[in-house]
Amino acid sequence: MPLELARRAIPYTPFDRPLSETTVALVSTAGVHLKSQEPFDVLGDGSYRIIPSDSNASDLTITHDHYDHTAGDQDVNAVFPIERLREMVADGTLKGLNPEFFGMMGYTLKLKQVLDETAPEIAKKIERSSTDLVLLTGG
Amino acid sequence: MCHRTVVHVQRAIEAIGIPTILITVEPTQTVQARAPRAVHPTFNAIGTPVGKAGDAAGQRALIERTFAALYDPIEPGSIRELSLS
Repeated sequence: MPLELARRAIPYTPFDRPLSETTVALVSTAGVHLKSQEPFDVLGDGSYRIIPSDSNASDLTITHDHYDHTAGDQDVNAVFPIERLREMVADGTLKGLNPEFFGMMGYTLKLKQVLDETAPEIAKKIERSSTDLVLLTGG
Repeated sequence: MCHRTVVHVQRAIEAIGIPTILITVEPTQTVQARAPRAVHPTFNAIGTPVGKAGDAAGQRALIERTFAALYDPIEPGSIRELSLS
């Protein structure tokens, strides 16, 4: 039985690793997903999509009705900086990227689903990977 | 609301022992949701948390400043404001 985190508590894990030895994963609630994946339900959706970190930016899209994602439609890196992170690996700034990034829409009335299912599932997938650091963005 | 949901995921990841950092453009929601580590680029807005479309240099600079904040930690739950220059 995992320890339940009190809502007022703030979990904190120190970070002291050089970036050049760091593998990064990206998690976003900006509504990004692969065009080939089922779109989010704009009326409320607490689910997530796995976005391979080697995805072409042109294969990504945004389904989200609660913010103006014109910029993200033109350049997904404005909300989901997948190409910037790949560049940082290519030039040695970062060690690598987790093969799996994670996209959510974030707008949901089913908070319990996020707390009890989606968040622990994403955390477990990341725990089982070689990820050292997670970068997150909202919309 | 998506800025609250992202913090729920962030907290779950941090709680299993993997450090995280959030780029937020909704700092009030982020603080209320008790994010472990966050930066707020005051020059970016909702829809462009990482930077303007096509501004690769600006996006890259913001990510570098975000990662740099990892080495100069502030109290968990508070937000590091990033301003231009």
